[in-house]
Amino acid sequence: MSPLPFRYLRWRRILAFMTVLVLSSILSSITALSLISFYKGVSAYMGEEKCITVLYDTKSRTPFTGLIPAFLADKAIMMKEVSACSPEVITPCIVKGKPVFLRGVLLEEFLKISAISIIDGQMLNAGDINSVIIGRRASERIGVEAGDKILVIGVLSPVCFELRVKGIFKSDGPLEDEIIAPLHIGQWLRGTGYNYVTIIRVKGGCINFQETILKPIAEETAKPDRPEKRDSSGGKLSEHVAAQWTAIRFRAEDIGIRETEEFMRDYMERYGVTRESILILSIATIIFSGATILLAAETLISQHSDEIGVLRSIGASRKLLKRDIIFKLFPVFLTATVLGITAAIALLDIVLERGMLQVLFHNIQLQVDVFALILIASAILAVIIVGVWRSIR
Amino acid sequence: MALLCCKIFLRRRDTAQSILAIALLVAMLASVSSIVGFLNAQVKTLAGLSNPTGKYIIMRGDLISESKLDVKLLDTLPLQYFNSIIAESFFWTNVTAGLTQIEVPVRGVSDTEKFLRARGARLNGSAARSVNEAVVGEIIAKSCSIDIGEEICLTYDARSVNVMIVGVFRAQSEIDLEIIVPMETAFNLAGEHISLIEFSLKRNVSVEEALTEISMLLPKDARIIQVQQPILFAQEVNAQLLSFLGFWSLAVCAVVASASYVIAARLVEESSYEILMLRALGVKRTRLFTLITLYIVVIAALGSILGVSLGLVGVQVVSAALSWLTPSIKITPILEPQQVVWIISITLSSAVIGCLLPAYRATKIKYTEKLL
Repeated sequence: MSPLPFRYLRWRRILAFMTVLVLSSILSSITALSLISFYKGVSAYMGEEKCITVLYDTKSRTPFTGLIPAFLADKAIMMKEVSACSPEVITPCIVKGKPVFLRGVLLEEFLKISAISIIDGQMLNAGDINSVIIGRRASERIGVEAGDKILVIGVLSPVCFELRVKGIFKSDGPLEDEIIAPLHIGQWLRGTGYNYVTIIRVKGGCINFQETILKPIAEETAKPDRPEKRDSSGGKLSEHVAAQWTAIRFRAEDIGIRETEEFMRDYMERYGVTRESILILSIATIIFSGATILLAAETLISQHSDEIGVLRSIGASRKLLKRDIIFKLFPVFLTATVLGITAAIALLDIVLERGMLQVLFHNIQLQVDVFALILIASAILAVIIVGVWRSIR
Repeated sequence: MALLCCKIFLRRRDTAQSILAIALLVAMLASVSSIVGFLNAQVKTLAGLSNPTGKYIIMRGDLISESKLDVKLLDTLPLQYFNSIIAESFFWTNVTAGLTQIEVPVRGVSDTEKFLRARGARLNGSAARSVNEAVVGEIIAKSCSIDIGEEICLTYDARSVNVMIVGVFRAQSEIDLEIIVPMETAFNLAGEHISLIEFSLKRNVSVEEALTEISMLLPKDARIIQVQQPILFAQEVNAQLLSFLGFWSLAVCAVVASASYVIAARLVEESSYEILMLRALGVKRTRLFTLITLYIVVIAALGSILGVSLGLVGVQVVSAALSWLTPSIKITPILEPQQVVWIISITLSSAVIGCLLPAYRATKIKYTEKLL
């Protein structure tokens, strides 16, 4: 029930005020939702299952540029707790003039960790040494179909070669924006030889890799009396690779071990990207556009100064008027904020669906964070209250 | 005269608040643009870390295996530019080795030994010298269980050639998946043409000049491709960042337009007396429209200059604080002069668009009645 029973706020003036609120909430929601979607999308890049651990190079500046010895995969798979161990090389390349990420994998192990299904053509098998499968979105972006041949040009190394596209696959995650190839193809494009991979994803129970695998092997490979001739690692996985791995020296402390989501978050945090910093940035947009909301609230009051004057002359106190205006503007705020947030979600959905917003050629899935949206709405309401409170003197 | 009239509006109490409202919006735009500028520079630096080798190929069409170039093309090219140059034939053949049959690429070169040495390959056995000899990459050898001394059959279209494997090599690159044969063998199978010319330029030549001259000598549909393209990759990553910035800027511009609407509406509401005076002094309706627009332009111009400065200072302070709290984070905001011009231009345009409706309405109001 409104404190004053008069309808003195004019609809056309409220509409202008509402437009400002809608646009401000669109701006803040777009900022918050796109950044949170980016954050959650990147976090889930390596998979979201809790029992997957990633072995990676702690010295690398990005998740794609690190290098760790491939033979560690052979050692990891020997542990009884480990059900799958996927050594992977993730590297950019150019296909048909368009950049795309290619992931070199041992397919059998990779499929135990990541679920993909073929929608056109056929799945790769162990004998396919010069074929690849392409994610649905990547194939649409590049313009290739199953059965085509593609010319792949290196980004990190000077290589240029042809491959056959055996199939198109779909998956739930960012893999749809990548090319999946045999491990050696990724290693050529990375340009570091057959003994290194970017990451090793391990599926299994909680294992202390640092103590049980890395330290003993690092000590073993660092022994000065170790014969110079490098032997094949001779493990279960190296039997399946096209080019033999050898046991090479490394420092145990250079290899990081994290769960998949933590692994990606670790990289983002190095650049100051955290969920909290994203929320602060989104609230900052409200504070910055808050001056406009404040101005709009003051203008609304100024436009109704005659009406307010009449109400004052018949005995309405300033406090009552302030309460009444805030009460009358509350539905306007609610409608405008809901409209703004809905419009922002719809706009982002269209933009993301069309692949116009990508991070390193990977599409982002829209993530609606209710907490962030409530925070934005509360900030807008606070600015309106301040605006009305300041204007009626 | 217009400026004098505009001064009446500018002296209003809320002008500073209006400038600040626009400035804060522009500050957001400037700060995000400067961070995107920093990210762009980072991507370029990362791309620059992998120094392209300056290796190029000349080919026709989209695929090397479908490319056909005249054998004599090599003789027409200006040799003074090249550090190394080699003509190659490339095609996919069906290889029969024992019971295994597989489709693999075959590369024909004039001197297999020199070619493998140039690619840094470790050769086990000897190089293929005669027409019925071939060397095979390690991956093919392992996959098809081919050993030195074995004979394999290469089939292309209806033509077949039996070759003896005289060496197995490991180059840790794409040729590990190929069979390398002398050029005569390739000609016998795929016809007398070459597929590509691989070259690198001398250090002291101008790359742009050399590539221009070489491309002028090529057949119409032939093209030069650099075989390592970190720059293209960096450009595309930057284009993605800029596309996000563009989309986000649209939202900011919409808020700037709405702010300009509010400012103009408030001006008309609160300056009725001044507008009446101006009308009484003979200012026409169109002039009034221009005056309100001019006021908004001045407010938006001042707001954008202040906003750009605020945005840059703000980002600098935040990045300094961040690097102080977390030493690994080092953000150096970069805002190019053309970006500043772009920000000011879109702010002015949005502000003018936003003020058009209240300015038009202002010309229709009867101020005498309003004041009464």
